[in-house]
Amino acid sequence: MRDLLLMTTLIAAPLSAETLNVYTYDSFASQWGPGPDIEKGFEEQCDCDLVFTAAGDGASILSRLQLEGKNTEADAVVGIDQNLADKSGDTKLFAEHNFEMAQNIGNTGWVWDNEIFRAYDWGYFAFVYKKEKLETPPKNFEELADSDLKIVIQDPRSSTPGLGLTVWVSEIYGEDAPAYWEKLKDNIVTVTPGWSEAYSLFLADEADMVMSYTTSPAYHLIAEEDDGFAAASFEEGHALQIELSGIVASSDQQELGRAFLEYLESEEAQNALITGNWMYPVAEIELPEGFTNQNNFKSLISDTSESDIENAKEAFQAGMK
Amino acid sequence: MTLNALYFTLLQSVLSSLGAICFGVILAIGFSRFRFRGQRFLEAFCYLPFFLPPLAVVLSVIALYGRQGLNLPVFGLFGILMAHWIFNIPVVLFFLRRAYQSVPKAQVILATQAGEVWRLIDCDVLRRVLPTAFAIVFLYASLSFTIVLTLGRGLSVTTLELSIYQAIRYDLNLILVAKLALLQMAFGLIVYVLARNSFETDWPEASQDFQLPKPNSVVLRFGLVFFFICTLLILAAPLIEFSINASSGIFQLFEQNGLFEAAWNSIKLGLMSVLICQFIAAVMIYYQRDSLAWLIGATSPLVLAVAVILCIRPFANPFSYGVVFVALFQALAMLPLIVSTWRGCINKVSNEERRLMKLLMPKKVDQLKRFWWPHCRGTGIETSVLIVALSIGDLALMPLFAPSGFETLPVLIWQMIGSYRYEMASALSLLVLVAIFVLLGIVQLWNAYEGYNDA
Repeated sequence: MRDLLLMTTLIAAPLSAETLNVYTYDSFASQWGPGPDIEKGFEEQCDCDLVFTAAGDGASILSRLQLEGKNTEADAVVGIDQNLADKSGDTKLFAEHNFEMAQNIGNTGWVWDNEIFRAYDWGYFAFVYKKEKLETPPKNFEELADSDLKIVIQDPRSSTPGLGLTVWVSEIYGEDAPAYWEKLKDNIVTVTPGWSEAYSLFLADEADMVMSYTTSPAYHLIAEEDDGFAAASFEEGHALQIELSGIVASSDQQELGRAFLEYLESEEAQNALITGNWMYPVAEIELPEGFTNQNNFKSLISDTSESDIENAKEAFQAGMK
Repeated sequence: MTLNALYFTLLQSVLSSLGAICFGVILAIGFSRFRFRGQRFLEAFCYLPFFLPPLAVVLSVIALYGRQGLNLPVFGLFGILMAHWIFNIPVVLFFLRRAYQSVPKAQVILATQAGEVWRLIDCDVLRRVLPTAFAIVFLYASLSFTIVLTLGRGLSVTTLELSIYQAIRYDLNLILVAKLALLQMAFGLIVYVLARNSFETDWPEASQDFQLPKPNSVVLRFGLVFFFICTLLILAAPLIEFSINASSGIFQLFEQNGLFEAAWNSIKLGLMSVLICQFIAAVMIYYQRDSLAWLIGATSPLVLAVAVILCIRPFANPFSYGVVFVALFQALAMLPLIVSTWRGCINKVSNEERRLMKLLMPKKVDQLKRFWWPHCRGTGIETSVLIVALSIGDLALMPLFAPSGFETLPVLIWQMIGSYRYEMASALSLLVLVAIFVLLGIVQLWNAYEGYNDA
């Protein structure tokens, strides 16, 4: 009987498959995210087992890696954004990817050239609204603050879109950012811990606009066949979120990790990202019908340092007191 | 910023505790003085909100009081208090009902004959229970995070828990985390010291759930009924409004993959939490270390998690045992409630009974089997169901530690919202709500069965 069990175990065990552990954020790994398609596609070509582990959001992934240190089981990471890139790089937890080519971020004019992280998708931050409830959306931040519109935003201390918004406002207003936040305070219904709470409140009609992405309406149009959502185009330009992937330095699967990063930029993976992650691709591929046209939005290119990010957070807190 | 956090944490925690106590007292007196059809069902319903995920309570409060409902200023202190009351009235009710049920029959007969039910029974119960109830509600309110942040407008509103969250998630500033955690623990200890006497009170012998006489005065009777209904509305109206809104997505939900697997994972996690929590609680009660349970409960689960990870890290990767860790931290967070409940049960046994037990049953195995088990099995089942219900609604720790593919119901809800599927997430929240309600119904049925057997 024992021999039979042993044989069954041996037969059931994979013969040569290596495992690639990838830490990512919750919605990426979920059945509605791009994770399952990417897993299937990569496994078909790598003869390996790709395992996604959901670890909160970008900031949580980094904290978890720092806590685990060299004992981490992660071989690669997907979901850190450009505002966390410098900080993540400073931890020395990531290996250089050794890809030669810099990446063009859509037609924004931004070129992503980083030795540690590769971009796999990107999006513009924007205020999203329901067309039937708001016929003339504000065209810039001033109009937004002067209006009676109620908005929901996220806390920069606990949310990456929240951090993105504070950096965006600081880019435009510089030293006057605290004054702008003070002016905008009346419009803010609430500041939520994360994107999920904010978007839920917006869908429940508790606010006229929500801080999200220009691509959010594409989800409602393509997945729900609901044309009722739009993102307000701001004259000052829109800040970007570039999502990044990297290889963990302590991993013994460096080559497989590199192959995975390369796969993320393939047409197959990029298509999965468009309608799974609802973001723009970094590769030049055709967008599905109904997907938000990136040309409708002006890009605000900014190269923010860690101190700029800290200043942006402080400006938010000073203005919102 | 820390001072600001401390001030707001204190303010909202005190107001949350006082309000929850007022409403909890009204409900407990109402349930003790009146008998009506469906009372057990209604009482089970009143315990329900305590077990819900905070986001479900936030959405319920917004559904009723927000722009699409009564259009009250739901974002701010009002909304926070409403949500905290919904959460914590059940805690006060739970402790008070247990105390009422343990009043000796002789005391009830005496008080009724003397026409002094308020002075001899109600005041006695309140005096014994309220300090503990206040302490526990204060602790839960001070650790609140999602509710305070989502409903707090995020302006000058901040809490110690948020500061800890930020220090761990973004900055990994462990020195700051340690300072904030010490402050938080000091908070918990002060409250424990203030309420300590009530923890150590000797509880009288248990008796069955009986009806106390109704108030003599018509005005008092009418007043009690009026406030009883008002309190029920505070608890029930938001949940009913939310349930109506959420029910539209139910059928869509069953077409999704992974629902039953997530439900099964939630149950497995809950049972694991039961084993761990009951074991630690038993050890603490045996060695009379209730204050330690309190100290652990007063610490942010995130801080506990980081502390344990740092201790284990040199030897093994703690994330390899993710599910066990989630169960462990869930168990630790529930310790104050569970230890207090056990203490109430244990203290009912008089010194004379203990002396007799030791005399008649010298072997510890016999004491456990023939004395403690029949005496405490009701509390054992009750606390176990409480732990499972609390575990099913928990989301705080899962994203940090959950191993790949181990999705529980709250994780699924979070993933749905994160993937724009708000309707489906609301429907699943409703399903979790119903599941917890069924679990609480089982406890009520068990209590009724035990009462019947004892009679």
